[in-house]
Amino acid sequence: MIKELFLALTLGALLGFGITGTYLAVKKKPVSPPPVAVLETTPTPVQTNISITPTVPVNTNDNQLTVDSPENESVVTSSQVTVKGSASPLSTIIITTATQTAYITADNGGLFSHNLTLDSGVNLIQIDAVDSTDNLSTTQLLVTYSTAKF
Amino acid sequence: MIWIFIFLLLARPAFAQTPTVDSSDNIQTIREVVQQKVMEKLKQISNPGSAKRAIVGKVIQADTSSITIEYKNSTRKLTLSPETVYVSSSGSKISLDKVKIGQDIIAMGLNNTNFEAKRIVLTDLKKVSFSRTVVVGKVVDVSRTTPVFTLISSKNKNDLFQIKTDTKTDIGDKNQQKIKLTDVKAGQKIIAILTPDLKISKTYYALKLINLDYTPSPTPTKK
Repeated sequence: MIKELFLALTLGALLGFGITGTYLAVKKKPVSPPPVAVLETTPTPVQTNISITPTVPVNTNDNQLTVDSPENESVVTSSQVTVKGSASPLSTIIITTATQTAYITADNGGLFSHNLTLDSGVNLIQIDAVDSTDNLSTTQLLVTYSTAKF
Repeated sequence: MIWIFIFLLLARPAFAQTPTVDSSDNIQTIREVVQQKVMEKLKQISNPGSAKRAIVGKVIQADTSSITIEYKNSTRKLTLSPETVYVSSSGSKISLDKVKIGQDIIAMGLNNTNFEAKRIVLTDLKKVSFSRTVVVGKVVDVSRTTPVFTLISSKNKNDLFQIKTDTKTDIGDKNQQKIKLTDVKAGQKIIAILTPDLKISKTYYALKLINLDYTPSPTPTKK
């Protein structure tokens, strides 16, 4: 009787450990995703650039001012906007509204960014860039700050 | 019986493990979110006109279905719908008949083939507009008796600007450090943000001056 019990215990333990070990080994083995899934889920470089970090183009032309944000005639729901754009490297950028005038210097790549507080309603924003050879570029934007739903 | 009992005892922990969150699931979720954002952005880029826009102008024509406005010599036609809301400058709702010819308005809506006006607000564009002249040039003369100096434009040597300053004039150097009017000397290059003196030709009030050639004088050290 004891012999049989011992045999049963041994066989049972072997069988149990065997099944458990096999299960764990199978689970640990990394499963490579099927090739089709990789193709579907890997974003193309174009999509990545557009969607996640919109790149601000670096200006190579002299005396050329580009404002990337905010867009002209846009409607914003926050009084704080960031004026972002590009001009010639190290240009002096002057940002003027009806109530404020501020100036900053574009970086070595010509990029600039400035936080602006808008008044309620329509805001006319004038942006001037003066480059190292005194060329002046000017652009104006109309940006409306409104929380009204439409 | 014992066999089954031992088998279940040993095998149970393996099968009863709580399902762990696989990192590949997180990656998949992130990918789906990114793809969704990409699609939204692409849709926006491919159809930029469908975005909400606000345009301004003076009413030059109005009927029950449309309003035409003019701003800076350019006209825009707005289409109206029964859902279009009209708001006075004080914020109260009004009817379309209160939108008269000659009235300045802000029209908010969708900019498709025509501008679909959803909300029209009466306004006064004089409060929004301003006149600023930005000049870059060299100081040629600084008055010793009055806070006035003369600037000659870098790009046009025939352009002379009489510039008046007052206590409100903000003067700084290229590093945004405040300086005094006495730091403005003849021969220095300056960017001047000006508003015209409507009474005297070629005369301006300086709102802000940026002295590009200013260098702070060294502080004397004690020996």
